[in-house]
Amino acid sequence: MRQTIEVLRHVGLGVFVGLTIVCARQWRARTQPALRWATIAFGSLAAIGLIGLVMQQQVFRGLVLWLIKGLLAVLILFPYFLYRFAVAFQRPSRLVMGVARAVTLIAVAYSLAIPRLVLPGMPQPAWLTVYRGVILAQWTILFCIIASQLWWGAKGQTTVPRRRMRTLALASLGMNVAILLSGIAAGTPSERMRLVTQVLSLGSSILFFVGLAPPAWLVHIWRRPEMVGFQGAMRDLFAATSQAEVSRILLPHAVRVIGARGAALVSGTGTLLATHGTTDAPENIVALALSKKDPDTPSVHRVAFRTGAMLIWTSPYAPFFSQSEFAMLDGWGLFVDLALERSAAAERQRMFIANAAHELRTPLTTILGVASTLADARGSLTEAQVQDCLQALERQGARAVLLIRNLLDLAQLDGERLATSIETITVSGVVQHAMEAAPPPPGINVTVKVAPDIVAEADPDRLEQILVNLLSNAYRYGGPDVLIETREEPDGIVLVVSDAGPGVPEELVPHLFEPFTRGNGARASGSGLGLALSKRLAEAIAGSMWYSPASPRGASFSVRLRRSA
Amino acid sequence: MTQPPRPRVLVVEDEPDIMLLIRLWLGAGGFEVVEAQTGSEAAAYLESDESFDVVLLDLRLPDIDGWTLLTRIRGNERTRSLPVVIASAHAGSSTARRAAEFGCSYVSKPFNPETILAALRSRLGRPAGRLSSTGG
Repeated sequence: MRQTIEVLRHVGLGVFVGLTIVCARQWRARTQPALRWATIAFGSLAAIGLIGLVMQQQVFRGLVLWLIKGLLAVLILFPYFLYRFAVAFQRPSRLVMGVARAVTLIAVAYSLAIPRLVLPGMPQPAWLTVYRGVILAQWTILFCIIASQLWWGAKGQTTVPRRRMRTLALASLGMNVAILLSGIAAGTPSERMRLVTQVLSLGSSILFFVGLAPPAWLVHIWRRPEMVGFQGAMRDLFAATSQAEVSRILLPHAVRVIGARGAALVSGTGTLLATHGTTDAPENIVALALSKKDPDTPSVHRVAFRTGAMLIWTSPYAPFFSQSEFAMLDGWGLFVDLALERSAAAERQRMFIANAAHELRTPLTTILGVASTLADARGSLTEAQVQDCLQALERQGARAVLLIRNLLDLAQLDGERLATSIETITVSGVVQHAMEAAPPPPGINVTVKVAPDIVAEADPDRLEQILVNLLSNAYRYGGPDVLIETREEPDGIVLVVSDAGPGVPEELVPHLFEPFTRGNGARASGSGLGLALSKRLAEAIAGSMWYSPASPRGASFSVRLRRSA
Repeated sequence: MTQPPRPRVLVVEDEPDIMLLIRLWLGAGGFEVVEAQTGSEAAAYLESDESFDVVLLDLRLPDIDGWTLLTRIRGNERTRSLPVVIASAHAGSSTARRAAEFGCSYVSKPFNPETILAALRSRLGRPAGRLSSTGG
């Protein structure tokens, strides 16, 4: 049995040395005060064990009394260090802190004051009984504080941190029972009692290990309920069709996975998309979310992703015990990006359909109104009024047809199914055709400066469509003078249509090539799709298109075409 | 026998073909129509001519926003109580609410001759300020 006890003692010592190394490594990786105290606590216990091993060889005979006094003092400080670990997350009341300090101080002072060593089998003096009582009381008080702090602190945490904290609470209680048993039996230590205390102590040290550095497989088992929730969240996220819906699904799940107090979602452009359970001022939330630095308060966790950031207000225990949950949450970024982009695309599509319907409604209702007026009141209309009505019918019919044609082209371009036939073309020829298709209205003069010998690689019909769109645009928004010219550049031929009108307002430029973007001054007779379509057409015929302000004033649209080989 | 004077309406609308329709309908309905294609044109009319009985205002205008024009109308002592009927394709309860705040009636596009004539006739002789007290 003695041999078993010795083996258990050595294994227990090994576990404490291992715990010290694990805590020290974690402490180096993340400088949390709790980890410092855990390292000191288990380090001191491991040191006592190692020195005890050496002392068995009886090397330091002369220094034995003071060495043992010192070791006793360190042993008394172990529960105090562990207590500092447990209260590093949340301070207990002043009374509790005062009691912990006082009992530790008394026990250390008593240890340093003992007059001599009393070996087993020697008569037990009264001061030794009192001393033993003081130490047992100090250990018991401190371990009870540690256990209750961790046990009740775990309330409301998610499974992994809760299990870790409660494992540590149980380890503390086990350690306390072991010390109580060995203390009570100290005068007359039986082999069996020593075995029981060694087993208890080893069991507790293993529990400490599990609580502080749980193995991955155990974390996996513990996390199962949260994983089920996580999978549900992902399923819901991908069914979401708006940013609001993404936020509404994401935030409660994030809060549940971490056991947090609240969460907020902020877009990359600094818009607060949603909050859940937090009452912080919106400007503070946005500043915190977009800051490059880590949040000052350790209990605010930021999950940054491509399209924005999520902030989570956690419990004070989370930064230590929920590291693995944070890692899981950080992995959500990709899903959130996908869900947000997907819902933004759905929103764009809804807008597009609404805009298209709105644009179609105007010509169709005008046609309907004119037709019913002609049907009901033709007799009371003058001949000129009838002519106006017929012209309006023609104009609005043409407008509806143009809109539908552009919508179809745009749909084909987005699906990349547009048929093009690239061939060598004479640019001036295409310009001439475009001018015939879109002749300048009265009062507008078009100057063409395109040399007849300039050739490029393009689809002539599509290029003509682009030019007609650009010309119609210039007639609608520009001044009385429109210029078409070409420029030869190293990487191709640039065809430019410019006007001397007011130019594109600065705030409109970023959206210029989006469908249904319209500037002021629009006689809303176009489809609202001309520029969006032209840019995509230019790209479909292996070219490119861009806007720049004309000099000294006006708008200038350039189309780059491939040079003929 | 003298005919009663035809009520004068200022129509602010930028779509020429919708303007044509309104002109035909209101003309047949007994109104005298004055046309403004832009907000600034409308503002100029209101500045120089005091004889309008009612304004039919499209919210989407090429130069200034219809609401801005309306704010100007309500801010001017002379036109403060001029009845205004708002016509908008952006139908919605928020537009109707905002119209009511300005003391205006509201018709949503697309409209037909009956609705627009009824809306204009119901506002004739009823200054904007009294709109809320008469319940609409």
